[in-house]
Amino acid sequence: MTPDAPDRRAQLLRGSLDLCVLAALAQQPGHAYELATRLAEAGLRDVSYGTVYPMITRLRRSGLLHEQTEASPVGPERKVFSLTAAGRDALDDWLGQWQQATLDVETVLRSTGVWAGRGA
Amino acid sequence: MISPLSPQDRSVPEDVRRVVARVQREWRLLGVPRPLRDAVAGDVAADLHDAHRQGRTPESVLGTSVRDFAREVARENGWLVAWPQYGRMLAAAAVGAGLSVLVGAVLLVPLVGWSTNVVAVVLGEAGVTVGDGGDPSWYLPVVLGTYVLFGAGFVAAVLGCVRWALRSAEGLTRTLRFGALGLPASAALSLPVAIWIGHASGFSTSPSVVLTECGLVLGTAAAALVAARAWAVRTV
Repeated sequence: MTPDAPDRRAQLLRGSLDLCVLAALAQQPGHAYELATRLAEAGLRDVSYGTVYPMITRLRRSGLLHEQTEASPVGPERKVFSLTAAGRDALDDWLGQWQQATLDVETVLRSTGVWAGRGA
Repeated sequence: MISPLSPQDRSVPEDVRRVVARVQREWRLLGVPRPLRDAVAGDVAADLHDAHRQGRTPESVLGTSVRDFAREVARENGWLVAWPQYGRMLAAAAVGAGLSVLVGAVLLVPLVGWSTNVVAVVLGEAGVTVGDGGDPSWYLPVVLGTYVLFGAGFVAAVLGCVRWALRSAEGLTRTLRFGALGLPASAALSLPVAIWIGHASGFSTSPSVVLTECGLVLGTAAAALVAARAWAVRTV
């Protein structure tokens, strides 16, 4: 692994984290910490609450997330986030873009021969 | 109805309260109004409280420095704008004004006496007789020069304190630039009026006259600073 591997992974994730956040909230609404935990358990271990919370804020201000305050059985009331109709449209759109982009990159990599022997 | 979690709530663990207080401090330095930052801080505190119950420290949950987190949340909330912060600015300006008046009072009187003596010696060497029966015209520039020096120190102290208080605020450089123009301009307007009031009252030292004179000069200076900040905020 090259020394800049973590930076490179962070760069790759930066453009797709919002898609992951929308997908996770489409699966189940939740509050910010719970969402960060779910993303980490799903495989994004290096994505912290400190990254997810500002992302949720951006998506909410863009009208893609709805914020609802709900009582919690174990403590104070919490903000629970879910997708708006615009958020669902964005998720469909971004998912299509992601699939097309990864397909394009994979096609290029296959054509150069470096993909061979990677087990894909 | 259950109220939102307050970061100051004693049920919130100490380490969570400490981190949320640091986040709040960053937002306060940016000039974010209290109702806005309190609402988000309550939410962050609740999340960090949750994490604490699972045995995680606030630092490990954030995964970044408290300052970077605070700035990123501020950016995404659209808070990285030039907030006016008039109260904070005027409080800092008052400290600067107070300091410069104190230092000025200590230095000004001896400085006038010392500089007039120096000038008298120099003029005496040149053959000009000063003092009783001599030429009094040299005295006025020395006194005025001393007051101009004090004025420059006053402006520097006020703007220095404003710079410190608004160090994280947007539009600071413009505020200082406009303030550096506005404060002398305000003095040029208010000082002649204050001197006229003094002259008309026979240079009375009664509290009402002195307060009127000081209020006039300091009030005009404060108005100039507010105008400078308002203009800086408008043009950011």
